[in-house]
Amino acid sequence: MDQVERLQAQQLYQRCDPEGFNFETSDELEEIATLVGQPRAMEAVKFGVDIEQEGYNIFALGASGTGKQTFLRQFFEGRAQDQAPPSDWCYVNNFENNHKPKTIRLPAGLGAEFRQDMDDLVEGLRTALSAAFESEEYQNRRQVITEEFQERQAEAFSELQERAREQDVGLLRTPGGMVLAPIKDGEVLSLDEIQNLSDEERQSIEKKIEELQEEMQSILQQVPTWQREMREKLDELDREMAGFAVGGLIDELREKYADHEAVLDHLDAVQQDVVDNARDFLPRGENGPNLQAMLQGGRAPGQGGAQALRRYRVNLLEDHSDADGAPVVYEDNPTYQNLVGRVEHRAQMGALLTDFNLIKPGALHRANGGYLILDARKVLLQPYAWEGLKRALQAGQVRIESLGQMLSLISTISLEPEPIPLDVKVGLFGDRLLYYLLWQLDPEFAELFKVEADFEDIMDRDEDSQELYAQMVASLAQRHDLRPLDRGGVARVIERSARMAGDSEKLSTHVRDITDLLREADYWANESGNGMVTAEDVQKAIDAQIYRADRLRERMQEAILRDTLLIDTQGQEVGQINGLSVISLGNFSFGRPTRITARTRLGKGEVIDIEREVELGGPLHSKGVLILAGFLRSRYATETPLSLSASLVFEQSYGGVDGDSASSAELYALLSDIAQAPIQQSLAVTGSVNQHGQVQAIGGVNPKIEGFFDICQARGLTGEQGVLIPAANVKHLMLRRDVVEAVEAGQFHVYPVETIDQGIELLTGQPAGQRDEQGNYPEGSINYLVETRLTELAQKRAEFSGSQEEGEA
Amino acid sequence: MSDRERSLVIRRILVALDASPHSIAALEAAAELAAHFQAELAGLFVQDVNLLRLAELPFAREVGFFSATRRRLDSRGLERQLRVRARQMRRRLTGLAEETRLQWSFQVARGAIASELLAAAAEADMIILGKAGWSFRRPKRLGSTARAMASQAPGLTLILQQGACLGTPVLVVYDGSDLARKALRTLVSLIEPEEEALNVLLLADGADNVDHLQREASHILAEHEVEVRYRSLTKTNVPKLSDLVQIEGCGTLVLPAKSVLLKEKALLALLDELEVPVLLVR
Repeated sequence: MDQVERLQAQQLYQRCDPEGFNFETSDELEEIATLVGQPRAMEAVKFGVDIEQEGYNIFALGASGTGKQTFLRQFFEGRAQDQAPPSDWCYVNNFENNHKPKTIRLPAGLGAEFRQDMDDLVEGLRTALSAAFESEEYQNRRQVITEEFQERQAEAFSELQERAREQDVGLLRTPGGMVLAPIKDGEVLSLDEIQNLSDEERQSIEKKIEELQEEMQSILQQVPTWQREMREKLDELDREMAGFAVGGLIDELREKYADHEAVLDHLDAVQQDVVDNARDFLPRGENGPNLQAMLQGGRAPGQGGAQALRRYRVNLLEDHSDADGAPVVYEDNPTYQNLVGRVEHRAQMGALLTDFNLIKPGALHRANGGYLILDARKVLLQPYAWEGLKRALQAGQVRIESLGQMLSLISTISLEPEPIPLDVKVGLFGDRLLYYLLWQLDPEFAELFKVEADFEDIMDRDEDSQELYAQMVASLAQRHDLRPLDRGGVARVIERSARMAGDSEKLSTHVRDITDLLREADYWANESGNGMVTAEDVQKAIDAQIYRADRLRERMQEAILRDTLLIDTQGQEVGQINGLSVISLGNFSFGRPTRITARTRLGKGEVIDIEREVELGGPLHSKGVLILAGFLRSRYATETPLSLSASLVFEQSYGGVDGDSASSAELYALLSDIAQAPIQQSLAVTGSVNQHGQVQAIGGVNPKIEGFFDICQARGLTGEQGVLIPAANVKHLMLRRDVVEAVEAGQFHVYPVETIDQGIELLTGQPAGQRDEQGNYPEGSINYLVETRLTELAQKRAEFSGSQEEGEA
Repeated sequence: MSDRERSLVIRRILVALDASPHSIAALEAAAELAAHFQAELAGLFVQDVNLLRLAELPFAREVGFFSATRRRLDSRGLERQLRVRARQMRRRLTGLAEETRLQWSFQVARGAIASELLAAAAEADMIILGKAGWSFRRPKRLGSTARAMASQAPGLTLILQQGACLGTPVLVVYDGSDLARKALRTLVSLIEPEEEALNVLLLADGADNVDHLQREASHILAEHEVEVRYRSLTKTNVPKLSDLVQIEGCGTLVLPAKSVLLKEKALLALLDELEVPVLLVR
């Protein structure tokens, strides 16, 4: 059997050679905008942007920190630059139906002009109308009309008075009305005088008065009609004057906006409304605004304030006059209202009022004609935001509706603004899990987000990609205003990236982590007064990161070194082995050696996984144990029953255990106990095993080795100590420098193991043994010992059960 | 002409109140003048005896001004209505007086309006009243009470119409009579000489008399530092006086109540036409 070759130092760490770079410092490198190592995602986003079909919105999925949002933004911005700015959308008053404001679409930039023009128009109208209404012509004509009314009234009464006087009857005013009285020499007859009159005379007087009274009544009944006629005449006069004053001003705008029919229609409506309500433009009268007027929301005539004139204004949702291209909007608080817009209210006299000027745009309005970037998780966390977004995308229009309205909860005065056609490319980004869940659970999702841009966590590592990576590092440093890195620093960052990826042949694409590392290295460079970030600064940043996070690791190591947790690193023991597990806390993971023990006795062939019995072991762990039982049966007990009862345990493990990376260690412990062959405690083991006895790759190989190394180093390296790892994991090795140096000095060893036989030989120092032609293992080999012991147990069991049957008989 | 007459002393200003819009204008002007002269503001509300007498008649019916409905007019109801009005006016007067910290009095009299007013006017230095009351004269015409006052009231009578207030520039008519001299003096004490120019209208029976009148007037005004502008109107042109007032943009007109050149009839006709406050000096 082949001897397992211990790994050489250079196999433990794939260095990045700074000499291979053709630059001295990173600021010599040009900034690159593209994403490194994400060809699939980039292709997908490009496709998603270019395809102009409904529903081809983009979902960028991947782990957080892989630069999804930044890339979407950069890519969108790149495209948006070359595109024309979108149209300006304005809301204007609907003079026929106040609560349904109308939209006007204008070419980019014209919206702001239109808004200004309308404001100027109102100002101009104010002046023009004041001038018109203060003009002598108007005042005179108005006076003529009122005087005409007064004269008409006075004439009627004078005539009556005259007629009455002829009949010795006077017309008098009382506080509440009018009275007719018999008079003589200008004095009203007294009661005595009346009583002194003859009956005939008295009756004649009463009759006269009765007649005159009727006449007076009929005059008074006509007064309201006259008044109405006067008012109509005055209104007509107002309209005539206003029409004259307004026409010229509005015609100027008509000429300017001749190509925009919606504007022309609006101007017609404005003109009509101004003529009908010309008094709104005049300075406030003596009475001031009354309560009624205020409650009507500034629609009262004669108020003259800005309130009443709000209805002529233009509510420009988004001003594109300074826009260079299409908009790219990222909404970081995607509530329902922030997405689809809202109608605000203002409190007036305790009532909530609104008008089209209070319509506020949402992110969809702002991004209309361009691109909208949203965090999928945030959208889903906001009540109804997801529904609102989908509805807008499905309908191809944004309809502003308040949540209260949507849910029929609130019934205050509100608006139903005309919806605005929507033309937007949405880029959502989020976790993979979120994407797959949405795909599965929301049938509309597949309709609306047809483009899947999957972001990789890792990328291949080779010379070309390292160079590209160096460029990316340089760009990140430049973008975040950090010191440039020298080539050693860049190389160290690349090595660290490989370690982050947990693979010497891969690099991490977690841009955020790399950026953080650069920022921290920059900090340390500043601390040490370097003008440039060197490999030492990067190393310092890494060490500091670890130091900040490794309180628990330190406590665990301390417990081992103080023999609170029992771990032997020298000597040999039967049925006891050092396993390796990984503990992950936040962004930091470390290896922890664990003692695994196995005890065997006669039994019915069951291997008891104590972890599982107490429900501390996960399903993967149980699977590993069952596999090793399968291995035992198939190798040693094909003909005889496996008459063994074994128990396996992770000693001093009080938390849960999962994963099958300890299954090879468990098997070694079991074999050692069956064969009564002691295991070297200076070695630790990781790796899973299959039913054929092959050792398979596991995760977290680097921290596992380092975890055991740290204990050995603390106790003093003997030169015997080392770790057995699956051969398949060699390519993942990116070990710490001190480990590499110890290996180089021959003080520590890493053994790549392919099979259980290789492993057991290393651990026991005894040959594993191969079956000869007769199918027997050579005497003294571990396999021989195991098989013999198992056969023994089987015989004992057979004997035992035979005697039991006899006893029963 | 004694020295005493030179400066006008006004201690008591009577204002006739009947709650009509004109009388409210009169009240406001009265308060202003009273404040100017530190005079007592005396309000008088006259309950028209004719109305009260009428209410006693069995067939007296009142027709509502707005409702045009007919209802029985009884004395008690009428008296109550008149009391309410008087109270309104009293409140208004006290409000104004307290604002300017004036000494004030308010009196309710019963009788024929004109005679009651005349009686009260005897105890006052100036009487102020609205151009018309509640009657149905054509708008802007002089009412019966104002007419009576214009021709009979002693001393100073100021007549205002609704919405008018004492304004500048002041135009004073001077015809060389004693009353005209008094008018001129009155006027000087009324205005702030530094602020406004004074317009003097010389009313002459012939063109050759104009210079003489102007000399007289400027002699009277000599000791007052006031800028004076003279206009003249000869006898034949007197009917054009109201046009002139309008052209001059006059704010208040001061007239001698009796003039050889402006007889009573012409005066009343002039008052009918004018819209500016008119101060009659007798």
